[in-house]
Amino acid sequence: MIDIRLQTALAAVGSLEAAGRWPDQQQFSWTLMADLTDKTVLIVEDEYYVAADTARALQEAGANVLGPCADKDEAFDLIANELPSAAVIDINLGDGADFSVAELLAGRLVPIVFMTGYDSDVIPTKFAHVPRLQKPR
Amino acid sequence: MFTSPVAELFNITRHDIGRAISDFTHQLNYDNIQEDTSKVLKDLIPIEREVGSRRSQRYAMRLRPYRTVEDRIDGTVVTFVDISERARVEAALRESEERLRQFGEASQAILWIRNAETLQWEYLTPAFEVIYGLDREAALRGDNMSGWLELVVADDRELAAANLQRVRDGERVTFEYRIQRPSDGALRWLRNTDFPIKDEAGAVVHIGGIGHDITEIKETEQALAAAEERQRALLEGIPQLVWRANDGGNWTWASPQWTQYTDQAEEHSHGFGWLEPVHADDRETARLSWSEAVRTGGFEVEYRVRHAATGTYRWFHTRAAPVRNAAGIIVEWLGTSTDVDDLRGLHKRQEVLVAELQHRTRNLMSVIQSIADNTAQTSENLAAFTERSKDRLEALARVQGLLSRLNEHDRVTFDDLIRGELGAMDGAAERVSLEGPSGIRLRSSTVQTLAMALHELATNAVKYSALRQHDGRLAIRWWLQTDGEGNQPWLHIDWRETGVSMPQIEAAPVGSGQGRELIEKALPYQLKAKTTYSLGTDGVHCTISIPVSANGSTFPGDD
Repeated sequence: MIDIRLQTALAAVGSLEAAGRWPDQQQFSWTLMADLTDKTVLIVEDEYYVAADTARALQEAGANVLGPCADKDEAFDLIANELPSAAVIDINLGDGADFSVAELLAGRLVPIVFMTGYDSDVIPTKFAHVPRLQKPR
Repeated sequence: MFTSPVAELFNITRHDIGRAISDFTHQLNYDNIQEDTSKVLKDLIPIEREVGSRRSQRYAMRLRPYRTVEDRIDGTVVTFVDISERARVEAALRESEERLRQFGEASQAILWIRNAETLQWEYLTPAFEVIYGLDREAALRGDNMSGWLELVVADDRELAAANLQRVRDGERVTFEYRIQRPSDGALRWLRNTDFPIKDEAGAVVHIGGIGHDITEIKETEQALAAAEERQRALLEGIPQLVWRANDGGNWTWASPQWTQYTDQAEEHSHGFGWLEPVHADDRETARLSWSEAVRTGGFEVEYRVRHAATGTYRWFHTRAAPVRNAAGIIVEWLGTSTDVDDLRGLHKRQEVLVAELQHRTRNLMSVIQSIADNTAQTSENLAAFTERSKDRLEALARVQGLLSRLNEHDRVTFDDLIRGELGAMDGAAERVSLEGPSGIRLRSSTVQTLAMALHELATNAVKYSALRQHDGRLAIRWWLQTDGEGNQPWLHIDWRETGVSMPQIEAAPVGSGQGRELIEKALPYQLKAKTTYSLGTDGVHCTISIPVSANGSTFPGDD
């Protein structure tokens, strides 16, 4: 079963996009309020600074960060060891759009959030409902 | 005296004998009988006249002196011979001849008659002058048979002469030939129908001929044939596959291009045979489009067709337009199928590129944001922030410049990158030594992060250490290790500063700021690099090693 609170939390992360803001220090109260304590969140993002910022934001919301990792092989390795409660995934890890990590997690009912610079028309229909954080803000 | 038939002409009876002829009325259109009689008696020369009667009879009338046995002139003998029948025949003949003459004069075809023996013209209608552009008299002069043959173009002369000979032998012939008009040199096409004219014994005495000018018909025929040829060449020359169909996609004809492309025999494409080379997944679409077409009067669809030569399916854009009769009813469809496979490929590639551009642009914005955030955190005031931001953004812009100048398969090489970065630093070139092979290609996504790291090192050197202090030196060496860790080549970079007085650099922000984070964390994270950073006794020593692919670029499969 998917944890309702986690979904809410991730929806809150998604709603930051709607607010037109990337998670930063001021916005942290949002994610803090969405308590992610004891939740493990995987971060798949090839840009170091973006990955680091995201990791910090999630940690401050109480989450255990899995990763961050910069490529999908590393992500598969991490998932094989520990299935996360949720995941924040960059669609493009340097070689064009790739949804294999998302496919794997969706198959295991792990909620995900996309971090992407892509417009929605690149996202396959089956992932259309997935919240997206547009880079950078 | 008189004979009884005379009573029909003159109103006389036996009782009238002895009275003057002038006393009687008559049926003749002739009123001078009195004078003519007197003249005969006076001159003794008979008079013959042809007179008509009011009953449309014709008579040969003869008045001669009557000489008695005693050789005495004793009156006038008038005889009437009924020549009505002969006159009628003659008149009819004259009329017939006149009619024929008028036909001949009016005919646009040349009518002629030659003597079968001498072959000379005996009759030639005026149309000759129009068609041959030659006076009839001139044409008839001399040996007009050979004169005429001269006018026939050399290639057709034998044919013309041979046909005349056949007519002489009793045959009727029709043949076509060309003449060249002496007046303007124009070629005219003629079609002749020549026939023998025989006497009662069956001998050919004359040759009749009808010559018809068919130049315009010939020219029209040739123009039509040329137009058809052009249309055919066009239909078969255009790169599209062309076809005709009845309602519902029932093909009736396919152009040679279809056969050539699909290797399907033309007749096998008929009906719905054309669906066979269409990709199985697209057949339903093609059929549906036809049912739409019947309803909407237009047909436009894209489906894949098998290319026989390569065994691959290529996308075709297929359109058809209805051909309607005068009542507006669709009688058939004319269709073309255009190969749009390359176009679709380009379109797809363009979509990928646009998506990639979005990704890179937004990623770049993330990087700029990170630079701004980090610079803000490590700057003591706004002036410092402004200077360092400008510096870093310029470095970023240089990298973008290098990347954007590349063609599709080009790569930025490491020596390009390091020279570009150091070139942006003012002076101090004599204190820097560069040593390493040129042409080591870097993955495009690697370039930006590596460049920013090198920029931080260079900035630090210029502002605080090797390139600022008079005795400072900077040696940058790099080399390619072909059999590095993970069975792949590695690029090793060694940045070593010497002669730097260390107390001065302790304040340098690189030790704890963005430069150091880039080198020690971002490079290993993003590029799988192995890095070291240390402050030696006489300057910074930094090593960066990144895996590169066997062909000299880092990571295979780079776009």
